[in-house]
Amino acid sequence: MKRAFIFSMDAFLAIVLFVLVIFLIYTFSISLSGLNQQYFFSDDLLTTLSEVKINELDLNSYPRINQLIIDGKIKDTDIKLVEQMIVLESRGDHTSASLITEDIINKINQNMNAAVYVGDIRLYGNDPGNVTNIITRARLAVGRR
Amino acid sequence: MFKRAQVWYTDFLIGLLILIVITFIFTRTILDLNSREDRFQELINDGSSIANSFMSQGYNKETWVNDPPAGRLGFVKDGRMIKGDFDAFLSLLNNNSYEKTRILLGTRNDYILYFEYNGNKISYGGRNVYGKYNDVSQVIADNTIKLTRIVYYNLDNSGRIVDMVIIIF
Repeated sequence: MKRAFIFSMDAFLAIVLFVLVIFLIYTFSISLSGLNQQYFFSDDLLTTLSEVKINELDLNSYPRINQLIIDGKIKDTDIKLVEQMIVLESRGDHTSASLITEDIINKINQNMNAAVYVGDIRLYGNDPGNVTNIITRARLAVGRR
Repeated sequence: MFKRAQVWYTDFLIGLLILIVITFIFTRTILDLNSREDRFQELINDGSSIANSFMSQGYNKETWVNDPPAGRLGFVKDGRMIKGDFDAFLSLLNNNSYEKTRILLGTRNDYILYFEYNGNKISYGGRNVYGKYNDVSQVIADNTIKLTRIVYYNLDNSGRIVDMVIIIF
């Protein structure tokens, strides 16, 4: 009767390979959450900027907007935030329009890469450039100079 | 000249057994990944639905306390918090009627909700977390989803644009 051989090293290598494959499957399986959060953020931000007036804000919480009022750059506080941004931008005061946007977004935008434009002029954030996914939301707004 | 091959029956059985075990483990791994993905997707869909409910105007808030509750749970209109509707929601929670809110939201998952401004939670009605628990640290679950919406918050008479954070688990 011939003797059979069990190559323990072969068996060990086979087990190691198998465990490695299982580990790699778990490690590289990615759950894609979709773009719901980006959609919500952009839509909600546009809604609040389009609905909330400057005189409805607690100016103690928005020092930059408060300073613009003190400096006389914001004359009418009974207009909506987005209208004021348009008014300032149409006067060529890009800096003040950007300050309003920053004062609002910096206190809520914790983990989102966002950019805000009035027309084709960027008020806030970095140029998106070449990104894999991007959500764009737009609203038509009016501002009187 | 041809040499005769040899097959050891025992080796064959051991090899077959190892193959079966490996196939079983591999199949369970793939199924586990798929079920986990399904669970995530369910939470995302449910979370979006809950968030959209909160972001809508409530309907028939007088019937929220009924058994079974009726109407629609919501407290935001045009991006603004509606104090009366949120107070009715808070009243449900304070009267141990969290399950009624789940029925109104049409969800079988649990949730908590809080408002955040500049990284700090905002207190109202004696608490700063609303839903199943009073504290975020009490949430212990295998899978959780966090959604953030933006609202104008003036419940404490200091008008601010804040994050409304909803965690579903």
